[in-house]
Amino acid sequence: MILKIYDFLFEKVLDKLWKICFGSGFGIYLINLLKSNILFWQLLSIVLLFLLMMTVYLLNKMLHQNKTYRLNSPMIFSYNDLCIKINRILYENNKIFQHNAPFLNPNCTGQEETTNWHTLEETIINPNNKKILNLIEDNYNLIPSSDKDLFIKMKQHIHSFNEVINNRNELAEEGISFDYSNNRFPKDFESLIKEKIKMVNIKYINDITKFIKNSFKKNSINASKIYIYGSLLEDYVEIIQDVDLLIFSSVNDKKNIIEQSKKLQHVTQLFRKKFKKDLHIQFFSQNEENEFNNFISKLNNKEIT
Amino acid sequence: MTKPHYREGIRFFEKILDETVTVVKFNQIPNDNWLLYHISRSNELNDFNILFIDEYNITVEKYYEYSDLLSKGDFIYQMGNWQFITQEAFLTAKNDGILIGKANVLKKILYEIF
Repeated sequence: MILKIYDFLFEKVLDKLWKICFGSGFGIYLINLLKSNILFWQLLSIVLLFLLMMTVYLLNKMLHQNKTYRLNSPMIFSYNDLCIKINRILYENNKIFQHNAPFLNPNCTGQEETTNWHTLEETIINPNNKKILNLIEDNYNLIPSSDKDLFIKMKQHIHSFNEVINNRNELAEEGISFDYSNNRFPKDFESLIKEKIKMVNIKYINDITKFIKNSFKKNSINASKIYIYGSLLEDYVEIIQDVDLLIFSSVNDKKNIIEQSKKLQHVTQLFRKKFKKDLHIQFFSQNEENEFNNFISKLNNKEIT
Repeated sequence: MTKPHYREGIRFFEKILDETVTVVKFNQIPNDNWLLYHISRSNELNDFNILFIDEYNITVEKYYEYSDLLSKGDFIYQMGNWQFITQEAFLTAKNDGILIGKANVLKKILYEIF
């Protein structure tokens, strides 16, 4: 009951009150500073005041969450930021999974791949999961109620995965199989995060789409199908290094393919100038249609019409 | 050369080298940071070039982009198992006398074990 009253007071009154006090206090302080003549003391006071405000902010967050605040946690101020941070980790885990999980590789025959996969699970995926867990717990108040169930599902998965990893050898020795079926990686959690990232990226993707359409038209590039795929659709634009583009063209002969290739290199340079990122293009000619269709069917992509 | 699969690909290459093979020089290709190794062999086998690439799909357009750097007998080394090549690119390169393949082929090419 007392906690509830405190929460109510905090959310409705105190939270606003301390901001108003700080705001007005800082205003009065600045006016007084302007009257002062000693620059060093003025600057020092500003730095100290900033540090004080940050301390109050962190204490405020700590008290509000009613738990220990990890000092090495990244500063997160919004739900979008939280999703961006989680997405970066999920992306790394997913890449490692896709490239190394032995059960995804039809050519895998030996114990070596399985041992390598177990090592990656222990040294990269599980520690990454713990980072996600910390992010969720440190920023639980930022998650809207409608999405909380999926975050809880992810937490359950992380705990279960950790159990499997830590006890794998003992369980195998005793011939016990750990029932993990209810807590497998929640795909719907991943979809939720990706959806959030898409919303943030949408404006940027539109700008890129417009640029590609215009520059292809201007440079007479023969492209019957153009797709954006890769990290731009899965990650936050600020951290991606390049934009992946897939092109299917009706050209077939060597001369035309080389000509198209040169034009595309020119567009790539223009793109780098404008967006400060690399444009990575994969160009499929008419005779490579089957491989193109096969490749595009495996990708999360966006067609540029 | 910061990408992990690049390092793995180079490590594998260095591991299979023996005293009959010498790396004469290597160049870094602009834009993609790919590597072109020039190899000489002491056991009366020809010198040749190996182009190390990490492109996900090698299409015919990608092959043409770098084919000027290569000549008959050279090899394009796909450093990862995840890399693909289109049939058109493979056949076009083969017609030019250039083979494209992964680590298992590299070893055969290097020591001409067929």
